Amino acid sequence: MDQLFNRKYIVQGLFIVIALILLGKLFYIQIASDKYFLSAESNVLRKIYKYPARGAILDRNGKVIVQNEPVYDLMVTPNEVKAFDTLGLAQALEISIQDVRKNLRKARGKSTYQSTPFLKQISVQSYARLQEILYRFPGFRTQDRTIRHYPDSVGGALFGYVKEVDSADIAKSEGFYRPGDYKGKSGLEYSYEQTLRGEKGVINTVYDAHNTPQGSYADGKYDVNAVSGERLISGIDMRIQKLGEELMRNKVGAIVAIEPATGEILSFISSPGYDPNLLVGRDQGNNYMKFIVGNPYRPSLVRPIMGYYPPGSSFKPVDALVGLQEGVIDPNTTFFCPHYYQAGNRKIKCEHFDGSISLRRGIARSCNTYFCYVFQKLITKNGMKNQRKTYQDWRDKIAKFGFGEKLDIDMPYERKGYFYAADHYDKIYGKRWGYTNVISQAIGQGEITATPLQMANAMAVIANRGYYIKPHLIRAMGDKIKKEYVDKNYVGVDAKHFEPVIDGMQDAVNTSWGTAILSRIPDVVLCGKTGTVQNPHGKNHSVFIGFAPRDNPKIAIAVIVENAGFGSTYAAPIASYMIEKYLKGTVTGSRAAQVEWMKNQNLLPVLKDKTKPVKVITKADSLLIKKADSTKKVKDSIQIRAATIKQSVAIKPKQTKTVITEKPASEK
Amino acid sequence: MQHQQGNRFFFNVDWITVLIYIALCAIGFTNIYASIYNPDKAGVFDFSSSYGKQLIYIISGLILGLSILLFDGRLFNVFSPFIYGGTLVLLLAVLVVGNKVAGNQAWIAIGSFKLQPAEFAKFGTALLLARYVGSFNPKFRDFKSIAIAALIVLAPLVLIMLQPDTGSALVFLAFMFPLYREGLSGYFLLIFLGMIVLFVADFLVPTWILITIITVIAGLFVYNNRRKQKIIISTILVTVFAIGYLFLIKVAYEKVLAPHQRSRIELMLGLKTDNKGAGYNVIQSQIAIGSGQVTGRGF
Repeated sequence: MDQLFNRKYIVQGLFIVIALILLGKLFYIQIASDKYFLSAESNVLRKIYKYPARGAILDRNGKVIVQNEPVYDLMVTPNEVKAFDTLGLAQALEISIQDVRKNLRKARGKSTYQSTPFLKQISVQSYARLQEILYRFPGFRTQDRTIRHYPDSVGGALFGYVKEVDSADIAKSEGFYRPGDYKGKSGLEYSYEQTLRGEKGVINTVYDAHNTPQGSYADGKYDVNAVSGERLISGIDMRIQKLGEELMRNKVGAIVAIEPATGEILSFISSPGYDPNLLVGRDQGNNYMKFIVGNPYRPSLVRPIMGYYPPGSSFKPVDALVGLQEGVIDPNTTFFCPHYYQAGNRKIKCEHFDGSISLRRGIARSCNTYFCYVFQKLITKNGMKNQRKTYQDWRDKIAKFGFGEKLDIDMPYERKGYFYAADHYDKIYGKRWGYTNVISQAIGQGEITATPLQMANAMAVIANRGYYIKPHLIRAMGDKIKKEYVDKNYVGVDAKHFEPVIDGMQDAVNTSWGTAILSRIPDVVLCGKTGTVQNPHGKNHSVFIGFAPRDNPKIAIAVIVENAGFGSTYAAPIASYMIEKYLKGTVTGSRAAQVEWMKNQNLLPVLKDKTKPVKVITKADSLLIKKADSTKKVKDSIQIRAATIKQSVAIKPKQTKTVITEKPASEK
Repeated sequence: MQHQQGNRFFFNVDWITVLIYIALCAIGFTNIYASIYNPDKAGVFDFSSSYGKQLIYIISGLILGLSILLFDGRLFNVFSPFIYGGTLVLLLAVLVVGNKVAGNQAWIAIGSFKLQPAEFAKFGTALLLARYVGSFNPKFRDFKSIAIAALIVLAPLVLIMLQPDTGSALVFLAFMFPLYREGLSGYFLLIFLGMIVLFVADFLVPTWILITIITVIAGLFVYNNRRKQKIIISTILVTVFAIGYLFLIKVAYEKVLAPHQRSRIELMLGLKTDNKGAGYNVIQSQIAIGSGQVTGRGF
């Protein structure tokens, strides 16, 4: 009995040991480890995000040019869905029954107990219809958010577009963006994303085991209200932005207009443009493929800052200014123009036969010979042996106008153009090269290319008589005026040298012998310079740069119409209409009819067969021009090459620099 | 007589067990009450709520327990074979007329009330076993008394396994403890413990290592008792059985256990995780416990 009595303690001991083991495990789960505690938090808390409205954008006159429109996402929580009237829902949403089933299946695939989008961006009309019958569809709820609306339906390249973030965006943002967020993908929407996007709101809601909301967590202590994005005030003048886009209809090219005194961009036009409203809402993806990718003239290329164009004759005023500053010419210097300029063994043709020609007339008539002489004098002023160093010096002085460098505009994807330093030519010609090798740059042809923004900026420099302010699209965020855009960037040319050049530019538009006399604006002194730019992609580009009025200029402009021929025919009138509209509010008199005529001109270049391989010629074109001049055979072959080059001069800079023209630059 | 009865009533009660029972009831009730506590609707007597129902069960349990105490103990002694027999009949009946719920045919529906005979079987078995143990004070040294005790326990166990309700059946193995207390050889418990250890070890350690360990231990044991032939023989027998058992559980695990039972074992041993599937209840329970931390949750 004694022995058996002890067994009582053995049994008790066993139970105690087991109880202790269980207690130990409980202690670990409940107190020692916080793993389960953290899981519990995420188990019961569900964050519901409130999407803020993106900031609006205003133009310089206070007109809203980008705003928001309410849309609604229909969300579904699959395991709350009961058998429902599929047809009724399909009709309310204006989709097919198959789509209803497909979307529900998709949502179920993502999660059965979480609210996932069933149909995104329902219009206000559908939403109103749906609201009345939504009670019949348990498990469905709507979530409101906003999408962009562009009231003027212009400025696709300017504004860019907003799109749902993809996995790469989410990864890059280090947790800021979550699936379902939207983000500016190009244009102003991209560059001011951080200002425009606002702050998401969060509502912490406690859910129970049946996934039923049990009210807000800690009485909303940790909830955050959505903060709308800040309003941007741009320097854009929507009146001329809209006019410009209409004028550029069925044309390829770009317009940039700048207010010289402030550096604010007044219009920023890339053509072909597109209605930014196309890239909003449910059809975004389809429209993107159809209208942006599907358009052979590549609207996605933001030509004002990505398009590379030889500046052509519009480069001449800049050339003259440096010449005056360096003292190689003075306002009264004349050169004799025998219809051509002889550089070494090659001739650069001049369209005019003026005999002895002065600076003022040389600019007004766009005399190639005159500026080749200026260039020759500039490069050889330190002696024939120091040409390389002097070239570099000249190049740096021109670069101060903004050529060959980014102007750092508040837009993504800006490119800097080509404007080579001396060592580039060392690679081609060795140590021995001189002005004859690079003479085409005297007239803005050859190796030099610039973006329309750079050309407009050079005009702002001339309008300001010696400086520019960094061009920018947005002048104020919210009510804060941006401070960084007040610095004057001086180009190192004294103010007194500008007047003779401006005289010539005034004559170009306002005298009977000028190149752009058809673009005269009544009561306004427009100073400008046409360009007829040779390029390897077909017909010459029509270029005009200018500013107005002469005294206290209000607008500087660059207009490029690709493959349209003479600068005076298209680019100059377009610029003059824009300027008149900006200065007077309307285009007056008989010119109003001309505006309509211009809008209806179709100057789209003929598309080349893109399947043919593009031959890339690797040497600088000035050299090849020389060769072309010397042998007929080479000349012919180059002609063939030029014809086979792809259409997109502006798109493929590598080809641009290497491709050559059939004959030396000539200019009207 | 009256005095004697009162005496028996108060002094023969196992007060410790009663106190433990009441403590468990109180803790359980408090937990349920705290977890669904609603300050707007505070009150213990809401019988539609879970804690209200729990209160009903506790009170009726107490009343029932009290009434049973009022009976003469000999009543149960006399009736135990009939109660036991009755529960066996119920266990047989449930196999024929029972409702199948979640794969188990364990309930007999009488109107809206569901009877689970396995619960009564525990009661009946305990009574009959007590009667047997108390009848002539067996020491469970002879084969016959062990066999009778085993039969009393195993008959309902087998019937419950047929439902199959493994969980309830396992409870019957706990009768080993009172039998041990009354003189059953401790080897039964040891063998049982050894089988559990080997079963678990077989999942965590490769079989060949286990076999090596068993063999080495057996070898040392035999060496120490090399002059005692009887011990040598029984050691060898145990070793052979142990190794055979190792191979048997491999087969039995795959063939006998249902997939959900296998996955429970694997989750328990940490061989797999399946937080969304089979392990969902386990992990959610752990999360619920863990969410309390030091101060706990509720109220």
